[in-house]
Amino acid sequence: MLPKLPILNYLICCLLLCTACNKASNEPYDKVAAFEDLWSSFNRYSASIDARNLDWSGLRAQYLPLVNNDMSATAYFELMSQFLLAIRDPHVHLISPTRAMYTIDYLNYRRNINFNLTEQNYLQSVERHSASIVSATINDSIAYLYASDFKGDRETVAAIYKEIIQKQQSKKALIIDLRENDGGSVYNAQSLLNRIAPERKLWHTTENKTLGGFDEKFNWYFEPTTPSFKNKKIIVLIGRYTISAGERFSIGANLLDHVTTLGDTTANTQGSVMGREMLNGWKYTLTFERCLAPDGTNYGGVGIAPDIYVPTLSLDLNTEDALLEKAIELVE
Amino acid sequence: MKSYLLSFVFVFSLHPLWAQITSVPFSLGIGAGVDLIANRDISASPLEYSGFGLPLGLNFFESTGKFTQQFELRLILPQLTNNYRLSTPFQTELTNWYKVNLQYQLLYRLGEDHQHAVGGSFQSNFFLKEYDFLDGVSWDFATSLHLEYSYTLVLNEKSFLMSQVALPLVGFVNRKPSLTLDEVFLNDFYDEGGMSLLKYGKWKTLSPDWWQVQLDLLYHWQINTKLNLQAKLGLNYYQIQFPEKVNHLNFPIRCYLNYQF
Repeated sequence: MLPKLPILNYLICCLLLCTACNKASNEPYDKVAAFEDLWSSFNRYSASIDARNLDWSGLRAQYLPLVNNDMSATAYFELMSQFLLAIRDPHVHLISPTRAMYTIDYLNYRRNINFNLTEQNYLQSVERHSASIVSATINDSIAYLYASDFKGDRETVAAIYKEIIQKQQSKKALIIDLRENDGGSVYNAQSLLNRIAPERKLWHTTENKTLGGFDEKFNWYFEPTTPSFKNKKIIVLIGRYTISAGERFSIGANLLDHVTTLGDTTANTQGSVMGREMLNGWKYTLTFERCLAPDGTNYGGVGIAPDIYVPTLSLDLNTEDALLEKAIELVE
Repeated sequence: MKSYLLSFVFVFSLHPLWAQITSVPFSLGIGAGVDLIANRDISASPLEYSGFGLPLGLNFFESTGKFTQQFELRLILPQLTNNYRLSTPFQTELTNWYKVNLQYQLLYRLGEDHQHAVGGSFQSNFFLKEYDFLDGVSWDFATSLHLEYSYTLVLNEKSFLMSQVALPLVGFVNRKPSLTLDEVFLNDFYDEGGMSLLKYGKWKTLSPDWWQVQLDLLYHWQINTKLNLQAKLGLNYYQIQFPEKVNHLNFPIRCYLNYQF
């Protein structure tokens, strides 16, 4: 006789499994367990905890008693945001279906550029190469390159930098404006650095978080290429909104004798970022990579200071670009 | 879940009326089915993603008084079966997923009645998941040799049931190399595409680090002298412990129409 019953059971279970896929999004969840998982995930994956000397167990002890399953989703989001803001890492975001928290909005940072004003009052022969890369000339003798990020296809971006540097070869100096560069691919940052670096040199090292600590160091080098600006005066403008790969570029710029960094300290997070999700489906991001300057300095939690510091609070962004004027003065 | 397991235990523990094995000449066919999946990969997300996909498959089968050989290839690719999402109760979804299962079995029949058979199989199981958050990619890819046992029940002159159980002996288990996908890894991926993923893996024997159990129940129906139909119900569970734990359970249900040569 055929075993009809087990096969029928099997098919019914299959159907139940299928229907189980269509549950509503307001699925109840254990808020305490979700917090514990969030805490534990940062403990395992985040490179920012060591860099910032955080008492991670102390933070758990501080926040765990505040979590309970009766609190509203809004209150829970607020609490989780407060917990994550303790890391002060601009890479850390928390996204629920209805709300978003971006750490950088809570660090009291100010921008030190108003690009519309800069473009209108200071730049000539402006060329937009992509959504984030603009080149121009200043006073016919200075090349200007603005990059609001280092995102994009590596070969495309490399070709843009090459074209800009090639075109501006006759200029006596170059100003690279990274004041609102919010990062992207470190390879794109390296591509630009390679066009200003005079020799192969250690740029920085990176280590990725593992369950037991960090993996082995990976060395990043300047790999000079032509055409380049290696023998001319270069000013790199940075600020609190220079983030991630923009900050790694700043580490490199500070290592080069013919390059001067000018502006404010960078954001404070240089390693690569990744996403994960909480037990309730909310998304978050964290920095999983430790980035060290050649002398071993970890700028995580601190940011890279410029060679010439100009306090952002002293700037009036509605009337002038005092930083750019200072940069022009330095190269003239 | 318990119902599933009880069903299989029941099928495997039947005391059937045995009859002589039906010989099936080499036959080749195509088919389709439903693959029910539940997967939790901690190194990507603490949530379990479940749902189903619709695999397309290629199958060959041959059985004589001495041996049985089977080959099966099942593909679930977004290009073939889009819109079938694996999701969580919180409506987060995999943006894409790919599942490829390849298996070749060779079983030698034992005893005079040929009801029992033992042998081995070569399997290659690939499951790639793309999550909807930044750099949310994970995969498990195991190529392995298995010990197989099967038990055949002839139902009548046109049909038989064949139950099978497989346990892994040794395998090359390919997972993401570390907790995170760093720039060096992404650079490799950028330069070499999917082939770069094959660099990362570990040889494993059956252990808490990697274990798997696979059950299959095959129903064979001889339609006429040139065609046969094979329906298969399966259960496949595996667990891999690196870089963090992945649990995978799936129930493939498939049906093939084979042409006999």
